[in-house]
Amino acid sequence: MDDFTLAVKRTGSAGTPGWYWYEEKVPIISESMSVLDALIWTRANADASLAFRCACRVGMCGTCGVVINGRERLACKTLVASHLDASADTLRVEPLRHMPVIRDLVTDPDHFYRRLTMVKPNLSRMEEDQPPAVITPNSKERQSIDPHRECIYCGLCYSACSMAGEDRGFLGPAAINRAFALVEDSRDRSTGDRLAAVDGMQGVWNCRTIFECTAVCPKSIPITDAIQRLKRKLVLEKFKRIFRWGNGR
Amino acid sequence: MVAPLRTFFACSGLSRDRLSGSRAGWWAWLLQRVTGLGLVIYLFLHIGVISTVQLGADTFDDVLAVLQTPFFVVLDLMLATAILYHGLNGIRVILIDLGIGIKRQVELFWACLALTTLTMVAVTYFSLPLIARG
Amino acid sequence: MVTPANDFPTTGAGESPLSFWQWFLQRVSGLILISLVGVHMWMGHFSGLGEVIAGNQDELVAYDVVKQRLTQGLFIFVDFSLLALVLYHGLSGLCSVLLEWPPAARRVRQVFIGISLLGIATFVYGAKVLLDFIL
Repeated sequence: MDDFTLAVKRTGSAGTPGWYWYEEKVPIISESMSVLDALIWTRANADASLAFRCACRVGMCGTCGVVINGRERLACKTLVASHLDASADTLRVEPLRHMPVIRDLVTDPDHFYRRLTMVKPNLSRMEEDQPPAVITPNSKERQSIDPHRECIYCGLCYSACSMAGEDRGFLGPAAINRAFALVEDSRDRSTGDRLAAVDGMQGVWNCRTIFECTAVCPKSIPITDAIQRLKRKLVLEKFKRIFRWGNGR
Repeated sequence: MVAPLRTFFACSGLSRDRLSGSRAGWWAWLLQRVTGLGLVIYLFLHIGVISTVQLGADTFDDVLAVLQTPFFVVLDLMLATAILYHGLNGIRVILIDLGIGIKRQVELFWACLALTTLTMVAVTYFSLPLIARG
Repeated sequence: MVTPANDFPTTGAGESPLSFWQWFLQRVSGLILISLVGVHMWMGHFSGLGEVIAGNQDELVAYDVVKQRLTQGLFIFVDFSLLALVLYHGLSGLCSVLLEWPPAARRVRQVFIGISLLGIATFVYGAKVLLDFIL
């Protein structure tokens, strides 16, 4: 196959509301050609007005997240060849879901980041006179937290989540994953606030364990596992409070 | 109104793209929802049918005789299938909540489907005389 | 393009303790229902199958069969518990599904009250029907 059809869901031009499918025949330059390469080629050779985001191009920044053939992926890490065969020579690219579309493949991540702020995503500082925490690389705590610190906030999980939406209050997988990483961190002093933030109809209890977030995460973070572990922690805290065990929250 | 509806359908996974590819977790959720809603509707119908006893024992027996004809026996088998799947997937969800088998959630889903299918094949086999007697 | 604060979706996290209890009780009721529904399906739909096929009994379920079963304390307990739990489990699930729809999610209180009233009314009606067999 020497070329393929790149179909991009684009917004109408000024004065023409709605969206349409823009199709372009793109040559397959090499076996390692990525979808981002195809978008860049299209903008350089066919239509300079095609709008999309990219930055590092090596899967580290999460900027180029889009929906490719119905599945959330990073455009720079998705090879064109892996989606084409003799029976399918078209690649469909759409903007991420659940975020307002600014233009073409460019979305407004404000909702996504706003939900992140609701879980206090920064580590709360220790008191100045506290000794530094010692967390060895092979400690149980480190092994528990490390996978969940890999998040690059690409928004793919938020797009894939059936419970998320621009007109819904659900925190979303990324925010809850971040909350989990900090709750598990013994250095952090805001566990109570974070558990309160994820405890509610728009928090962990709204997760239906569909596992779409885990499936699309480019860093293979076990997001659903984090949500389930937070649920178990909250259940324990609630029953401790009911039965006055320990220091129930 | 259009935007929320569009978001609703996209979020509920009914958009065309979501139907492509194998997404066990999503299918499990969809089937759980469909069987659940079906069972809620059946529940009200069932209470309605049983309430015909208020019209007398003979009326109750007449209604039940109709509901035990082959057509309704087949519907009963479909009901049992829905209950079985809903219950088994419910157990799967609880296991996942407890952190058991979370890395094997796809296999657990297939196990639910397999168990439901095998059980209902056996139940249908034993119910054949009931269907045939009509 | 920054979303104005008053346009942000309402019902932020941490609002209602009911969400936990709805989640928790849905699982508890589901687990109990596995056994209750199993018993009910067996007794109501599949036991006596051999008798019917052999011709010793006209129908699987009839007034006399149900009345005879509901003279036993165990089955009275099973049927009333089943009615209560299946109504709770089913309507709680329906509530969850409804509240995923944004227009309904903006009226949580009304949806909750409406479904609760439906559940209570149905339980009262169903209990009366069961009592017609028992008394």
